[in-house]
Amino acid sequence: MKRHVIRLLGAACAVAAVSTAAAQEIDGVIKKLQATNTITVGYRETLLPTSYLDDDKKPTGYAIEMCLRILDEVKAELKLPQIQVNYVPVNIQNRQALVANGTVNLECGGTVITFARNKQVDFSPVSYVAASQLLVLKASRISKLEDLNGKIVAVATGGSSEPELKHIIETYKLKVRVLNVDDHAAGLIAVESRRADAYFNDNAAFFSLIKQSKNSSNLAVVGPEFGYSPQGFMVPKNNPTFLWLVNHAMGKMIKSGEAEKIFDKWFGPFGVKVSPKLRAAWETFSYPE
Amino acid sequence: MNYNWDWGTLLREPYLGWLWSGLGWTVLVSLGSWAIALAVGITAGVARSMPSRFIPQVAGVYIQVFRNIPPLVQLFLWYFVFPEVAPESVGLWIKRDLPNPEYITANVGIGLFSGARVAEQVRAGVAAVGIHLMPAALATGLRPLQAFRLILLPLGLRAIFGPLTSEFLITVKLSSISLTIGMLELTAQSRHIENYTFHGLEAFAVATAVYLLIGLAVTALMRAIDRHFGAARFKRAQP
Repeated sequence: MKRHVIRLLGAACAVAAVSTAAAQEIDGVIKKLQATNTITVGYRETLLPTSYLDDDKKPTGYAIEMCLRILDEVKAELKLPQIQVNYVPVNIQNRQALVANGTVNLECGGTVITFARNKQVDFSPVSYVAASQLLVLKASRISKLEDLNGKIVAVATGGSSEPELKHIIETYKLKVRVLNVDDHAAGLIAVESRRADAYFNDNAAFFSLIKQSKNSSNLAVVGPEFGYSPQGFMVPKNNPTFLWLVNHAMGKMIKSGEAEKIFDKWFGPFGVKVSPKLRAAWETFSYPE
Repeated sequence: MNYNWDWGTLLREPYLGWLWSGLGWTVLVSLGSWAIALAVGITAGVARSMPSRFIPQVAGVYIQVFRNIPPLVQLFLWYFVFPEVAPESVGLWIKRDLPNPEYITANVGIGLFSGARVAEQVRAGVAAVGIHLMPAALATGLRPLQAFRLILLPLGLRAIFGPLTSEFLITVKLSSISLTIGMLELTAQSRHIENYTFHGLEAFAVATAVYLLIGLAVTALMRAIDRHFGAARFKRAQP
């Protein structure tokens, strides 16, 4: 794995040297599309259900489908006969660098939009809002934060959810016993063995956990979404036309309700609906034509 | 190496508080498991040396099982497996209603492992003094159990003070494995600080120094006890 990463990074650096000029060039992605009809899309290998490899090792998921819809719009807008999509796997460490240097033209994963990242890359409109939530057994009948009073809550030591949980306990004046776990898997075991009533964590991590579980039908993700981590698709800087095409395509999908349909298709099986925060972000982006 | 040392981090809250509470839990886990180790170990060690056929075998099974399974595995067995194989109501009680289940599990897990080691020391001590003293005690008219209780055990325990100090020190260091079941003791808190500040080296350096200090304190304590009650005094009393 590590060697894999190093190799990728090495490749990234080599490509960076060659393609710096291309990345700097205004509208490089559009020029490449018009010249070669190809685009390079970055995907994540295990980010269920957003961006992952299906059983046939083909990139699939919510973000991939959104991106393919965006590319349909791009194709229509640029009047291209077809678009050939080259998929490149990216991970948390290299995704930003690969977009910044122009290797990846559109990153279709779940990258949290931050101002620090925005300095190096551009972002599509918000595709998903991650937030801290509770993973519980359905039988526990916990549905909101107040229900945690007198309960045992597992939290991963060292993550950002730990101070959040502390804040919640103080704000709601809850009597909660906190169980420290080392990683997500331990949090799942704690909930499934009923050692803890809930696992408090970033809800983006829950979906693959639920998939791992033997009795996934017993699990539920509940509670208000705490915190705000909006995710978007990354686009290299200096591509105003391509960014406009992406924004416009997503804006149209949001307004027509297609975005929500795609969301429901991928997140529905996990019992997740469009959250109020994601809806607010989408409404903010529903500019008139 | 480009490492930006910043010892001041450890003096800032909440990190100083984390280290303190970590130290507190390390001491509590060490003392708790050592109490269990001594109680169980002396009982099993005595049972192992009893002039009987059946009792030493039972104690032998305990010693062999607990001495030969890695302590981390034992801790996992107690924490993850035991509550699941116990009847459901008992299992749930252990997992949820027991006050501080992680602490108690850590004490039991580490205590029973160290107990098996202590038992072997006790057996060795009793055997060392018993080889000569048992016939002598029996000759004075004491029954075997009396000889055991009045002569062999007091002298045997005094003879093993040195090795017991080592066992105590091992127990203190073993307390760090309780971090795997969610005890935020010294080592866990050092990692905790590393996660938030990226100054793990400072935290671990302090933890190392603290373990050393605890170890030296334990050694000094055991020496003091040995001077007052142990073989050292016993030896001095001899002409």
